[in-house]
Amino acid sequence: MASPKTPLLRLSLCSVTLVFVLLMTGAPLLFPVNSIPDLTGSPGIVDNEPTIRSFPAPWNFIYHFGDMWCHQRNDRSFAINGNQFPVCIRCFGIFFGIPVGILMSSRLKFQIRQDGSRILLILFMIALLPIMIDGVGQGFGLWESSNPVRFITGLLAGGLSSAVVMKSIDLHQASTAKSAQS
Amino acid sequence: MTGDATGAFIISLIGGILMLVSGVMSAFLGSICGATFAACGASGAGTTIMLVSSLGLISSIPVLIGSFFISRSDMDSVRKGSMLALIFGIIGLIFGVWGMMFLMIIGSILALVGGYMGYTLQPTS
Repeated sequence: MASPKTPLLRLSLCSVTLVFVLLMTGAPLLFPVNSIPDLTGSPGIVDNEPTIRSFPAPWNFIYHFGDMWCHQRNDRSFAINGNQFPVCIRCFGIFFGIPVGILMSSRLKFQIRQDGSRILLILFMIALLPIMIDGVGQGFGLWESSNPVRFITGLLAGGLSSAVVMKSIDLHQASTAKSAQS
Repeated sequence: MTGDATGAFIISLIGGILMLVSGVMSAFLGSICGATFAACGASGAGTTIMLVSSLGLISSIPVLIGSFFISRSDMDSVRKGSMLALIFGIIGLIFGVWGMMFLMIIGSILALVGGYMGYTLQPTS
């Protein structure tokens, strides 16, 4: 079954997430060289409140979000102009993957039979398994991951998860349209 | 017979899984923080931290159960599962915002979307 058209929703979600990624990339790019200090902290805790408060809007918002969401370890974050990104490489991979996954989901076509949900669940597992294996293995000290691996696992998780969610919305809309016709 | 509830099932299941992962992580960290606060004499703060983190975890389980109800073929189960996902999605969202747990917030939003999709599903034939 071809994917039904949900262009407005797809475009809106893609735009919002793309703006978010652009803000994350723009922040270190537009700040003066070496003006953002080491932001290393813990997720779920605001560690750098005084530093972030001194940033102009909207960069203070995006760095505040990063401070709460991510550990922001300096050695695990991308940097432009000597300025650290608001989130670590793995998180940036996740956020970068979301608009990519939303766009790619319109190209994702497969036959929906009885096993439609199984295909989507397998895709979701493929999305999450690499990031879980890499994160848990590193957490237990079994190995030390590298930055390219962190980015790729994040990209897979963000991209495939968002594609699965968009495809599920497509399926629901197709089902609703079918019910309205019958 | 219901229409195809695959979309609602998948989205509420993903929401439930994200809530569960976030709940496990925050309950683990929350129990450590809560015990530390309690040991320092701030038992009120310790209890609040443990309560918020544990209730986030607990609310993920009915969402997962609800998503499996949605995957059933009869309309009554779909409605019940959707209601479970909606109610505990809201509870998860409240605790996610309260505890600043972004993964819980994302999971709760997906649970709410899945619950809404299941609830608005029209019966066919």
